[in-house]
Formats: sequence, C-alpha cells, structure tokens
Amino acid sequence: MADTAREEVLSRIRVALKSEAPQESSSLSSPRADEIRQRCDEQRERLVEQFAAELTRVGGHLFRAASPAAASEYVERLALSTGAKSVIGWDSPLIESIAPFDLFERIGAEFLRDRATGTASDFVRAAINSEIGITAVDYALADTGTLVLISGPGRARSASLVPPVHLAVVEARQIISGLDDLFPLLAEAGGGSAPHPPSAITFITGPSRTADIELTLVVGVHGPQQLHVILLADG
Amino acid sequence: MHVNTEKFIENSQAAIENAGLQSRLRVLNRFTVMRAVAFRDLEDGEALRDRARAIKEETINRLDEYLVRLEESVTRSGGSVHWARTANDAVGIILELARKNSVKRVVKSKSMATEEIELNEALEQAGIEAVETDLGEYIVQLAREKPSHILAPAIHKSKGDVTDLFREKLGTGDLREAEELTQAARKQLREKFCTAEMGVTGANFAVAETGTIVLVENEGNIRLSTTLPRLHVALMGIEKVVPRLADLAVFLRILARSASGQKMSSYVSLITGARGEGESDGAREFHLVLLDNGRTRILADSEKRESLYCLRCGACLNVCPVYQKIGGHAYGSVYSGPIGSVITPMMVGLERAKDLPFASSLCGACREICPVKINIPHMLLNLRSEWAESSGGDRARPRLSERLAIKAWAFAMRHPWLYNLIFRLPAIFQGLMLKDGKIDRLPFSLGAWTANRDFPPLARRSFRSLWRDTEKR
Repeated sequence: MADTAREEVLSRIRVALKSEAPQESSSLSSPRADEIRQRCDEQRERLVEQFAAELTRVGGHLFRAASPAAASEYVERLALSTGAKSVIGWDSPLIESIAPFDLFERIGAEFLRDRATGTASDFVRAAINSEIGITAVDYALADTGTLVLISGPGRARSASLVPPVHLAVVEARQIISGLDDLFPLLAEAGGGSAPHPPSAITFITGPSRTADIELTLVVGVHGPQQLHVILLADG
Repeated sequence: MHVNTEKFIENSQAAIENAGLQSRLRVLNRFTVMRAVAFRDLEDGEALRDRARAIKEETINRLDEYLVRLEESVTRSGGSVHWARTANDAVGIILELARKNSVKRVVKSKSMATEEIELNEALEQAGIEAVETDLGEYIVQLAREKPSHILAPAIHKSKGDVTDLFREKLGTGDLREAEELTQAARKQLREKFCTAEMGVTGANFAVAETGTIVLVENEGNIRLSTTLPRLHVALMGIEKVVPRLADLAVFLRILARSASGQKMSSYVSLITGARGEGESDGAREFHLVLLDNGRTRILADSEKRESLYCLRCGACLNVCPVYQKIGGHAYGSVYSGPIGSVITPMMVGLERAKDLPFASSLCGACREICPVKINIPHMLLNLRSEWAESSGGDRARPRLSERLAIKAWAFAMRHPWLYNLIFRLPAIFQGLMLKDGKIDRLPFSLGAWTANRDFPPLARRSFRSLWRDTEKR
C-alpha cells in the first residue's frame, strides 16, 4: 500500500502540472564564506553593539566579560542568585575554562557535563532536575539577537531547553550579520555542494514566551524563563 | 475533515451577537500594528516578499521533483518518509507507528495538518493519550473545542474562561493572572513531555536538498516534543517543501514578522533525521508523513494553485473585516479567514462550503498583507463564479429585483436631475434615522445591510456639488 500511495500522489501531481512547461530553476549566487567572515571582521564593533541591543530588546540578559575570569564570576553570581543545586552544560573547553567543576563545588552545586565521547545516558534526567543549563554557541546573529546552536555529541539540546535558566557563552568573533550570512557558513562547515546538516540546528531569540491568553505576553512557558548571555571579548 | 461550513450564516450571526467574543476579537488589531512596525524596520521587505513568492512558485511548479528529492534526503539522513493520499492514510500511518512502538502517550505541537486529519480523535479512539502542548491548543483541547486562529488558537477565550477551565479540569485554585495560568500549564505539560514515547509536529518548511524539517515557535513545546520522546513524527502538506537550505534566509525573515510582528520567533529548529551517534538527546527515530488530502486537486486548478503558497502565518485573518467580526469558529473549518475561504471549499467541495467565498467584501487587505502576495480576492471571485455557473447557470441569472434595481440605476445615471434628487432627499431626511451620528437601520430590504453594522451618514454636501466649487475657483 505504501508504494501505491507514493506513486498515486506523484502521478496526481504530474497530471496536475502537465500543461505547464517547467520553469528554469533560479539559482542564487550566495556570497562566499571567506568573504562573509572578512566583512564581519571589518564590522566587528558595529555587529557586537547591534547584537547587544537586539538581545536586550528580546529580553535576554547580556553580560560583557573582558576576560574568562570575569565570565567565571558571572557564572558564580548567577548560580548563587538562582540558588542552583544542579547545573548542566556542554562539553567544551570554553565552558570548562569559565565554569570549572571546582566553581560549583565551592558553592555546593552539582555540575553534570554532557560528554563528547561516550554517552551521558542520564543527561536528560539530570537536565530535568537542573536549574541552569550552560552552552556555547556556534554563531550569533546581530540583526535579531539570535543564538545559533548546533547539536552533536557533548552538545545536548536539553541544555538550552529544559532548565529554567539558559546561560550561553558567545565569543565576539562568532557574531555575524544575519541569516544571509549564516547559510553559506553552514554549507561550508557541512562540506559544500551536497550538505549534510547536523541533526539539529537551533535558533534561540530571547527566552521562551507565549501570548495565548488574551494576547498577554508571558515569558517562560515550556523553555527557559531566563536567557543569560556572556559576551566574551576577543582576546 | 469534519466541517460545519453549511451553518456559516447561523454561526456568524451567533458570533456577532456574542459580546465577549467581540471584545476579544478587537485585540487582533495589535497583531497588524506589530507586523507593520516589524516590516518597516526591514530594508528589503518588498523584495523579500517577491523572492519568497518566486521560490514558492518555482517549487510548486516542479513539486514532484522536489518531493522526490526531499524523500531521498530524508532517507539519506536516516529518517523514513511516508506518503498519504488522504487524511485516513495519514492517520493510519501514524497509528501504525504508535502501535509498533507501544506508544501510550503522544505529545503534540500545534499543527494545522494534524487538525485537518483529526489525529487527536483517532489516537484517543486507539487508546493513546494525545496531549496538545502549545498553551493555546492545550486550553482548547481541555475545553474540548477547536482552535479559532492559526497563531492564537484560544483567542476566543477570556482569561476568566481559562481560570474556570483549569479549576475544573486541573484542580488548580483561583488563578487570576495569565502568568499563573501559564505556569500551571507548564507544570502539567512538563510531566507529559518527560513520559511521552512519541512527539508529533507539523513542519513550517521541509528542505529538499538536505531533508531538513523547519519548525518555528515561541514557547519551546516543539523543541521539547522533538528532543525528549523516542520517536518524532512530522506531518506536513506536500506544498511545504522548499528547494534549498539558503531559501530559509528569505522565509524566516518574513514569517515571524507577518505572524506576530517579531523579527524572529523565540525558537527555530532545523531538524535533519534522528539523533546522531553519540548524542545524549533528540528523537531516536524520525518519520516524515507527506500529506496530499486534496492538495493535488488545488494544484490542478491553475486559478487557485497559488493558495498552496500559503505559509499559515495568520496575517490575513487579523486584517480581514469579516474575520474581525465573526472569529474563526464561524467558518466551520480548520482553515478560517480569507485563505480558509479559498482552501476549505477546495477541500470539502463548493456545495458544502458555498457561503465562504461570499464572506468577503473583496477589499483586498488580505492580498496586501500576505507575505507571499497570494491573490485571495481573485480566487474568491473565481469560486463565486464557479458557484454561479454550476447547476446549468441558474444561479448566474440575476433575480428580478436585482435586474430592476440595475435598470433603475442606469436610468438615473442618464438623467442627472433625477440622480441628484435621489441622493439629495436622503441627505435631508436622514436626520430621522441618525443615532449617535450613524444610521443603524436602513429601510426596506436595505435593512439586511444594517442588521449587524451601522451605515455611515451621507455627507451634507455631495461630491458633485463640492466639485462644482473647485471648478469655480
């Protein structure tokens, strides 16, 4: 039956389109990845300011850190102010440097890191019982204040989704203009003409929100209620 | 698809008399204002809309090729593709997947396609719990109602309604604020997300070259539905395919702006297949169900083919003077508003939904606001003409009263003194009918027009007399 349905739908489409001469597909010449990177580097300062303004506009909390040490202090303050007993995070050298295990030990919180090698089978369970999820990002879009996160081993989706507070670490050099810049860069990362995207790419723009009751805006529905972004200066 | 389109006239009347609904529909203007602001900030907004339309046109005109390519890409990324000719096919496929995996609970995100195939009802009949997780859909499901707006499914309910509903169904206390009600729903639904074996979503777009499903939302319920349960099933109409990943740079910039006036919605998920090797979360199995259910019939109709370009943003609902008065339920179909008045008759047959194409003043606001510039008024006119032409042209012949009225009008137009008199007299005597500066009841058969609305008073001086003055100057 499965095959019949397929053939039937396709043949209905072909019959419906029969009289039409197929159009030539228009191909867009997208800018090259290295050109994008160069342009964004030249405009770095402006992009950083634009990203900061847009992120704040959508309800994100921005902390500009001049050094990893300053970022660490912010992590500690946030963990203390939310009274976090359990924190989860991605497996990345960046996160390891600003959110080391001993930081959490000092304040009496547990920290579970997703694992880039081997499996962290209890990660989702830990996420459900955590107050803060810490992630890095892959890109940030200046014109909308959007974080772009690519999933993978050690980069669990739940970290930016399940706990009520999401803390993301953005490096200034990761900020690009917008969506037009993003797709050529993703294609390049995916290896050119026949791209195989990662299992999940997530765009995050501010905290979770709804307006389903009388169009009254409520922040924090199913996703995080608070989005904190540490913006790490290029160093 | 169960519809109640035959009762359109009665249902509209009831909606107009429902004072509570009327006050809630008034807030819809807010969407339109926010949309205007969001587009004002977009430098190349017009060019983007044209580009989006061109991509849709290109895709729809080669739909078979792009669907085959999509199937290849999804399969390559480890997912499975299922084809459904009808709603029944689609329900059967999803039920089979649920049975095979011993699914007891399904978490669902908002999806017009699943409403169309009435998936919840089918799952429940099979003894599987289906939970809507979008807050508005959750409210509507608890109340055992249908969504009344694409974007804000529970727009017809007041905060007080939700307070009472939650108290009755969830045993919550006297929750007065939207904030408290939302938190109560979050708590209830968290439990469901963590225990469901299957997540069912729609798809805003599906990318042919990569097999990527794109899901746009604000709440995070779609992300949870695709991240926590073991299985992810996405159901989408065959018209949702787009050629390339880069096309998303066009669509994502106009979709949220058109829907809610946001530059970008809180979350956009680009999902390609199931979770990869070594990942700690994400569905372990991914299934894509491609749904025809009447879409190829629309495709075959060159006059209405472009209704398949629809992104389901809801902008045409918000701006429609008819929707603003009657809300979504009166349309008696999943797809309401101007675009629904085109799609529904095409899906269930004009005989059953003949009133819908007439539920429009043809003002053109829907076409103007549509992110892909769908010419809805043209298609409504086309449906009206089909209706008139069917049954051997009987309906195309004007009634005697209509013919007489046109004759009288033509006569007056040829005799300016008479024309002048006809319009001077009401201007003088309308004072008797004025109420708060508006005419709330017109005499004779004209009264039908004022049954549910006011008529603006005639100007003290006619355009002709004003024109004479300018000529004198």
